[in-house]
Amino acid sequence: MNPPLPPLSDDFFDPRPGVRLLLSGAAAAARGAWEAGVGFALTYPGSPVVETYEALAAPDGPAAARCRVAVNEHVAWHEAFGYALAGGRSLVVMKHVGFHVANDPAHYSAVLGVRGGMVAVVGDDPGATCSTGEFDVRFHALHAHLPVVEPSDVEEARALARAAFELSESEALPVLLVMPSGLCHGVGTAAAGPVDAPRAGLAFRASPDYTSVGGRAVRLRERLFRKIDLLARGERPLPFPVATFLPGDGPDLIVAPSVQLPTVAEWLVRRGLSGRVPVWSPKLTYPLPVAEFARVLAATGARRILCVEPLEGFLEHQIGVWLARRGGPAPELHGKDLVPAAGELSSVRVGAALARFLGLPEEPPSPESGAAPREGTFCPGCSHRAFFHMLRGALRPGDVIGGDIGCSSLPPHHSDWLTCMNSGASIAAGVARAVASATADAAQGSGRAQRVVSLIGDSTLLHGGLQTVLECAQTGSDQLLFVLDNGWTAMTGHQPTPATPDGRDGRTPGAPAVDLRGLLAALGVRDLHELDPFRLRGGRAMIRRLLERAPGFACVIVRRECRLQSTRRARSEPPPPWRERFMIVPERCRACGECYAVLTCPAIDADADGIARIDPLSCSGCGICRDACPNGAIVRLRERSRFAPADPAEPPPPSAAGQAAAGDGPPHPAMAAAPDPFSLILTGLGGQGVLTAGRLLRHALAARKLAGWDNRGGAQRFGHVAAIIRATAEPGAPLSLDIPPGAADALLALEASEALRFLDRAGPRTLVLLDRFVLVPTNVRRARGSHPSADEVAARFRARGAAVALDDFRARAAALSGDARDASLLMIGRLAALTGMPDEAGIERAATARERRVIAAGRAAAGGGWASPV
Amino acid sequence: MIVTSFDDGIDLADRIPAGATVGLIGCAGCASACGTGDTKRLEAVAAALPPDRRILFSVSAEIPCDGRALRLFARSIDRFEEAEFLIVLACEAGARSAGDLAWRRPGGPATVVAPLRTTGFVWRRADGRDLPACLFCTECVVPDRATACPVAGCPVHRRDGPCQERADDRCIVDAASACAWLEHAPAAETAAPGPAGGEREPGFHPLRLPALVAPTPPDAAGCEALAAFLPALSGGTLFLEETGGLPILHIAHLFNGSRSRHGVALGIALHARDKNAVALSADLAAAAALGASAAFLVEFAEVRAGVAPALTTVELARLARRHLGPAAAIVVANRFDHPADRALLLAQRAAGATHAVATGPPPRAPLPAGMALLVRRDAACPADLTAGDLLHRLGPRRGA
Repeated sequence: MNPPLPPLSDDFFDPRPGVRLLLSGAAAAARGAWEAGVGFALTYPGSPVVETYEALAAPDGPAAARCRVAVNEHVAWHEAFGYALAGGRSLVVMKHVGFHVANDPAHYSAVLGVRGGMVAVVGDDPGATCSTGEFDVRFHALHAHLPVVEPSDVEEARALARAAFELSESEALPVLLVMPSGLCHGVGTAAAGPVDAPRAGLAFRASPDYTSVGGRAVRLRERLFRKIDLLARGERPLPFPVATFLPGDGPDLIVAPSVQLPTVAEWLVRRGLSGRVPVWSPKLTYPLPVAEFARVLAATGARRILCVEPLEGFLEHQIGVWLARRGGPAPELHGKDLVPAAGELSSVRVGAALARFLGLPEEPPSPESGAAPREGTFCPGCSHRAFFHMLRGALRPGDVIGGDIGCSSLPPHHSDWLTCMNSGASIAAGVARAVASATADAAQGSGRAQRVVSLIGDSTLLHGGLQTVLECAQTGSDQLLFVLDNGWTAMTGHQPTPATPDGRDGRTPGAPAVDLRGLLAALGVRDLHELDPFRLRGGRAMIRRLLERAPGFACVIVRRECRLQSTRRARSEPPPPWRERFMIVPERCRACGECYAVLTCPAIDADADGIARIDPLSCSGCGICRDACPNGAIVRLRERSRFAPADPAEPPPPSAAGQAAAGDGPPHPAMAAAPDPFSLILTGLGGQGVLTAGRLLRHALAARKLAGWDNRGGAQRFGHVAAIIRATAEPGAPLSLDIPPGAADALLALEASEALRFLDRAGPRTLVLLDRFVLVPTNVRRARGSHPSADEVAARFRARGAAVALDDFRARAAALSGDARDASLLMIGRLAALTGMPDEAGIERAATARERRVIAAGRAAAGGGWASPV
Repeated sequence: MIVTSFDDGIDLADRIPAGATVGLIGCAGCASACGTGDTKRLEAVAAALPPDRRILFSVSAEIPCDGRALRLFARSIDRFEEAEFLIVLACEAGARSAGDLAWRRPGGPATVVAPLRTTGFVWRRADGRDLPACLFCTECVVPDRATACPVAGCPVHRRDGPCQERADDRCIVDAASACAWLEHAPAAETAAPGPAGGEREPGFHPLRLPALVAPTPPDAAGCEALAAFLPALSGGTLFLEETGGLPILHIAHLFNGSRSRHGVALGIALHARDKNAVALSADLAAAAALGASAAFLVEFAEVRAGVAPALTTVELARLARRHLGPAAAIVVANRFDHPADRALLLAQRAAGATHAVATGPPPRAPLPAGMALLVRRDAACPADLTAGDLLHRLGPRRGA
């Protein structure tokens, strides 16, 4: 019997040492920084490390005053560097491509060194799940000579973040804490450590070494090389264990940094190789701790090495250089010849590489999921959807659109390129110059051969676009730039921008908001306009007119606040007496697809004949579809709420639910024995409450050791979202973040076709609960392609031996509580009734009284005869 | 849009018994714009109902006149089936759609109470003014319906073209607004039929000049004055216009002798103020029997007060041609100022007009083939005959 685990806490700032904090990897790094007494934390928001900043900067938290969303990563790094130069501890948070922006100051901060501790938490993104590229940020360290620390789980993310400050101060170097998206979005528990107070009385002390020029620049670099060399040779004490070593006796050594450690360890356990194949997982991955590695080589006598790393062979490269420099007989070195360098490194791909390296039979190939990729899309009511519909109607074939980073890059956006921040207008300036000369060559008169349009979001404009606007205004670049101003850095979770109106921020009271129009005018934009994207026809006419303007630079501010934010604010206010709904009159619909396949509003569905209908559970009531419908088929109904029934139907009280649950009989055969580890997948679409329900389930299962991860790429934006939850009663057992093939015990899908992405994780032991709701992805709609129905999805899982319950959970939830998002709670209730997981005590601990009522209704369902697995 | 007004004469409390369940359906389209079916009006009606009438729902629906949309709404309106009475704040079409739905309702029929009156079919201009949208004449002068109908927009509903007696581009009835014909009339090329009867040379229909348009004298003294003026018109044409004095044919008969003596030809000045095609045909036939060889299509003064002509100038020209014969001269007035003026002239020519007299500056473009231009000269006539601007003295075009 294992001793009970310490209590679980939800409070990120909990001061009690030893309590278990349920955190994402990204938030765990923030907790480490909080414990280290960080005095100044900066970020430019970017997934997957948004939560590192958000957790620390919680508006009502004690650290809010120490946090700042900087205008870009370059500025953020400089500010953090300055704070550390003055002896304080600073944290700077950015994604991998953000580090590209901060590269210049990063190099100089390494050369100059720091007095206080400076840690940069940088999120890598293998598979580009939430980015436009999947560059391996660690390779920058080879050039900038910044130490790199890589944690392998949530607890290590906390501990190493804290220790990284000590390393930074002992070596007088900024330290990079690099975490892949799998770990950032991984969820587990971390043991809270004592919290240090931030340093007071900081003072800047001048030094000639802070001026890197001429001969001193060379000497500073020599000093930097000496620091790195001492670290590599293990001659400097590290404030954390340099590596984790899992002993073994074989001639083969596996090097598995970061999150590959638990994945490799669990694979070895499953294949019966635990304790036979040694695994070395360095925490310091730059510089390579060569002294430690030499000891491991000598101890294991390894003749073959496999480096299992996500993205490129960072350690493989360093080990190869070191082996060559060492001379003498060297072991065989494998890495990127067996482990894919591109794409996410799933447990399946790791297992395949390990099997090949060890000469074992490979696991059977995963079944084809048959699920079309699902990118996020504009939310219902999004101003970008309206704008792009307007723009599409104004453009003609051959016109050029330069795209940029942000919400506006989601489908169904239209752009001819999309790369990094500020790629829209900058690249367009070159294109405009080229096509202008082509027009002149072709002597086509006053009309342009190709008209150039570019896009930029408000946050991106302030991040790095201002210089481009200046350049375009100065040179009269013949392009029409749209500044898509929704008032927020919406893509990464609605951080305020310098232009976010006062009073909507909650963090910078009194700070003046930037007037974008005045700013652009000051940069020299003369042809400057504003546009409300919800005025579809007038806006389109305006764009058409501007496309035929005299050659030169013109700019349109497309202004309407992000719908999610305005809706959230509205929720806190009393509901208006009249509410609006939109409906499609089927007899008027001509199945033209304008709303379904062109506008691609997620709230609009179409039947087999193409006749569209609006899903009232998803519709935001923006009415853009009504303006876009060429057949006048979409009509509006204003309804007085006062005359609606006073109270939605109350769910049955828990006692009655308990009695009904007792009638369920024995657990389903698929779940006859309570499995350990218990592996559960909760999936659905952004905005359906997947992550909220995932958090509840983790709390309900918190009596056990937890692992897993969240896929948040499409959170809130109708993209794919999943919570992978793993729980074991054996605290010492290896538990990877991902679920091995066929090993899922339960799969709950709030949108049926999303379940297909986890088809390979399902097997005879799996219980599948599917909502009948299917939302055809934007890309499939635009291609007029087919998409599996809920029944087809259920059949595919049944073919793998899984038990499947298919029901209309959303509609039941809406009827029950008025909120379709409660479908996840109904499913949890069904899961508990059928499997006993999570147990009553767990639900009692994790859920609010309201949530418990809905869960109880789900438990009672078996008595009501719905959602029974077949 | 369809114009509705609230009928205050309907006592809802009287129509709906105490204890009855009621549903309110407003119109979010036309009736909303009229302020008779919008949410404010729904609130007012709900507030005015005695409290013992239980209101189950209140909705403002778009296009309730389309029964298909209304049926869709009904399915989504909570407790629609329970309402015993439906108060429908929509036009006649909306009320009938609701009535149809209420009758066929699966839960049993409901009684529809429709307290709105449907009063018109208008287009509401950007300045907020309402103009008739369509007169349902079924003879569209704007075949593609691409513009507002000028006939409906004209206060006297002229069907041929703009008033030729106007001073500028403003309406002669309502000086505050622009002439509907000048704003919305189709281009001359698309509106006018081709020349009828082949090309004709000017002068083929000899109009003896000078010519005078004279109102019929009111009494014997007037007759004498007009007779005394005939020598001055020697060799010319006297157009007689009936303006409420003695009957035109009676005067023509009285003057026949002296007119012949002075070599003055008889013409008839026509308008359609208070005579229809039958009466005018009788006048023209009689005039032809008296030897009339010309007709002048004139405006009557009451148009400025909003009196609509019974026939258009094109119809008058056609009538005159038919009764006066192929050799008669038919004179029309034209302002030569706007494409719509030219469109009217082309239509008149096709109907038989041979001469045009400029009511404004002389035309910049040549006249249509087959037509001659007359210019207005200073009127010199007996003071007791003066009828203001209805008195014309016509002469040949200068230099022609």
